[in-house]
Amino acid sequence: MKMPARLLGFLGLLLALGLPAMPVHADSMASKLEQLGEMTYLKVTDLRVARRNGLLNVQAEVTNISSSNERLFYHFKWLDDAGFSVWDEEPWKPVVIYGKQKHLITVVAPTPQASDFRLVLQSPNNTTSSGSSSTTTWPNE
Amino acid sequence: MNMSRPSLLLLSLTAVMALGLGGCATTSPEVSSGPVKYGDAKAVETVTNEFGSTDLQTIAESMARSMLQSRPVTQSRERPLVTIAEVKNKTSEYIDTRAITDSIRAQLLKSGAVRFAVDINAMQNQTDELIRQNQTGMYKKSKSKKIGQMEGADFRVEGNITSIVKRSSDIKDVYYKFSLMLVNVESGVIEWADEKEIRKTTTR
Amino acid sequence: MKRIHAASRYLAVVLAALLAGGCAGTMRSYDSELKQTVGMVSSGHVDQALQELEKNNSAADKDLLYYLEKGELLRLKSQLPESRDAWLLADEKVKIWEEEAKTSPEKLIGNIGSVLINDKTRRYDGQDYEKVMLSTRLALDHLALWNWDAARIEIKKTHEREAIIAELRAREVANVEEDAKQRKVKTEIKDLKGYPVETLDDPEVIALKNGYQSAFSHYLAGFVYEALNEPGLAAPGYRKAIELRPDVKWLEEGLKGLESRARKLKANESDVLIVVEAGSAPARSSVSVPIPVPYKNTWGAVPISFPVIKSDKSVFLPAQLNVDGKNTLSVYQITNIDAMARRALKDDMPGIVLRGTIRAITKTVAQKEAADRSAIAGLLTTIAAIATESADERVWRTLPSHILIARAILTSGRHTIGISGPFGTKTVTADVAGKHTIIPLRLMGSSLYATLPQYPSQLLASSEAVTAEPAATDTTNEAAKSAVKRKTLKQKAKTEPIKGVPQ
Repeated sequence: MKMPARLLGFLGLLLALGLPAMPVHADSMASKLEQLGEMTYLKVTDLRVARRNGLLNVQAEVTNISSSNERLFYHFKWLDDAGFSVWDEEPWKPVVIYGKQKHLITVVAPTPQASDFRLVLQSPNNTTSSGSSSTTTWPNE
Repeated sequence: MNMSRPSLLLLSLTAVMALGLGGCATTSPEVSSGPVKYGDAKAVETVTNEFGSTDLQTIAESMARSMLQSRPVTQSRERPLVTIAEVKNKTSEYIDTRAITDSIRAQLLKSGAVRFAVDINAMQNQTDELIRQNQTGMYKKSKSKKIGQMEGADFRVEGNITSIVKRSSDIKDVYYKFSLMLVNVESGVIEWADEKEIRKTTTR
Repeated sequence: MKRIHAASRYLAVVLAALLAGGCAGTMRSYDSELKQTVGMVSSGHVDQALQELEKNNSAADKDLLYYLEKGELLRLKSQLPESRDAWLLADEKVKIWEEEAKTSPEKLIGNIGSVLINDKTRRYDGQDYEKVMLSTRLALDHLALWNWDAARIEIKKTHEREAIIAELRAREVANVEEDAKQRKVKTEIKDLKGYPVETLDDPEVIALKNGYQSAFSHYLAGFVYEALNEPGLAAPGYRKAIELRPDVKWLEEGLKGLESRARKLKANESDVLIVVEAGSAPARSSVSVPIPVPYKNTWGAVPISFPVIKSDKSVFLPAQLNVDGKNTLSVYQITNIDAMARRALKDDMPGIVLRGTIRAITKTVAQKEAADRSAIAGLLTTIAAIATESADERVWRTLPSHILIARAILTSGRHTIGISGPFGTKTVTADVAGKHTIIPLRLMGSSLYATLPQYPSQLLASSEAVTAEPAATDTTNEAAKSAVKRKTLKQKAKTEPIKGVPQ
């Protein structure tokens, strides 16, 4: 019962991403990222996806191009083939990225149903407010 | 129109006021008179550097995700039956470790990869219910649940949380380490273990 | 200086009005009122003490202290629901303070009215240790009423309250330092000629971490969480108690036995915490100290009153209890409220000294100005200045001065607990039931009071028919009496479980 669903999910992923466990291309990478305002100093420089043990594995490399430390908040959204959310909202996670550091965010999907994801990013100190994102507040109370 | 001017004015004023009042009541589904607001339950909380909601959420999440990848969960043919033993609090802070294990359990159950057996703390309720169904004589024999049909857990989860707190005149640094392990009940073999560390620093 | 001039004129008006009206609020001497009440309790007359308290608080608008004292007196009478309700009303008042501490701490830190007249005119918010003790004592009331879940809530509140206090006090210290610098006030405690500094520099006072955290509150938290089968929360309770009183090595056993204690307990045994509270919290009184004040080209000295804590050295603290006439059980003093009160005062002193000095300056200006205008006005202002000077004496007096604990495994049923001292031997007969129970005793003067747990009927229902005469004790206890009528307990193996209650 479970296998066909998993297989379908996998095929969907293959279609979406080209080959399994491969770096995501630049344009499709952008489609996986949701930035709350454009970040000036933090850039997502690499994004990889693979399915292991039936669970989606994601690794994102965030590079700090400035020489001072930057804070970053992030969380993931997990979606199924149809684009529906399959998991509750994740807690925001705080990280410190040192000047010039390349930080790896590695996560595993919480459920085998997840076949797609979005990485939501927010950096409280270096977000350039452009247009509507000027009203953005960061997830820090 | 035999309505005099002032009364017309009064009427229109009343109408405007009524509209205004009515309008106010429908602009927002919020009744509030103070500074109280609902916030994002998943937001990063840094009000003080004591153990907080973000720590609980991130620990639970990273532990649940890590356990989902462990061999006993991914490799066994049937979904393993797990029970939660105790998570020891080795800090001197009142951290409700049961709240953390409850979150871990909820996330693992939702993933559908693991089943949970009733733990020691819920055992009293479980036996009470069975005794009530079987010994009070109030239930149909065919419809009451049988005693002696409970399933024993294949694995138990246990762990601890420790902290190191350092303080100088202007800095307070707290480091938490949460460790969890999955023990095979029959063989006593530790099948999986993981740790999550958190560091929080307050500068005055 | 301009502002002080304006303030001094205002002061002259206020003082005149006060003198004319004989304002009771500023003139009340709390110490002398409560000395009587405490004396009555020590000689065993709680009813009279309660009447006295009501007489002194005839106004419809009761303050925090009234409820604090009332709750304590009712507790001594074992009127537990009434005691709990009085304390819950006190707690409402503390909650208002807490809300302010969280939302507008600047309001609590600076209070101009007190600068002009004296600290007594401030609303009484309770000493920090009193606020913490209030929720601890409420927990004890709930436990005696056998409501463990409510006790757990109070205990959790104690932790939250301690955190709020810690935050506010840290802020206050910074504020007072800043304020003193701005106003160029350099007076310190050691500059107060004739002030008994040794009461505040006592090693017992200095050894405390702060003036509000007590080892007893945390040990009790450990015990309650342990009884509710939450070892993850019990451990920090015992651990904090050890941290607060590292000199009492016995406290370490609480933590060491946490894992095995419940397992070792046999079916008819109870883990009993005996709490012995002794004495009454120390009084605050006033001492007048001349503060040198510059005026124009001369120096004047204005008498300003400061609070002093006189501790009662006559309190008898037992070293051991006698259980059932044969076994002795060691009791350990783990909380010294007397020292906590002095520590609280010590920590408050910089602020009090700052306000006192500002008051001295203001008063000098007022007196000299009045004297410049007319001799009579000058005299009147001087009289007013002396009359309004007496420090804030308000403190929760019926609170015990020392808290001692002992812990033992006792079989379910009747036990007698005896304390021997200069007053001879006093005994209390107490029933023990359930897996965990607390037996609180209060030693005041030569009177021994017991606030025995009022076990639910389910716990007593399984008891066997053994008629026993109540042993003669010098305290009347409704709960104990009715429990006696319900016969001694002997728990059978098949007890019907009670929800929310540790078995």
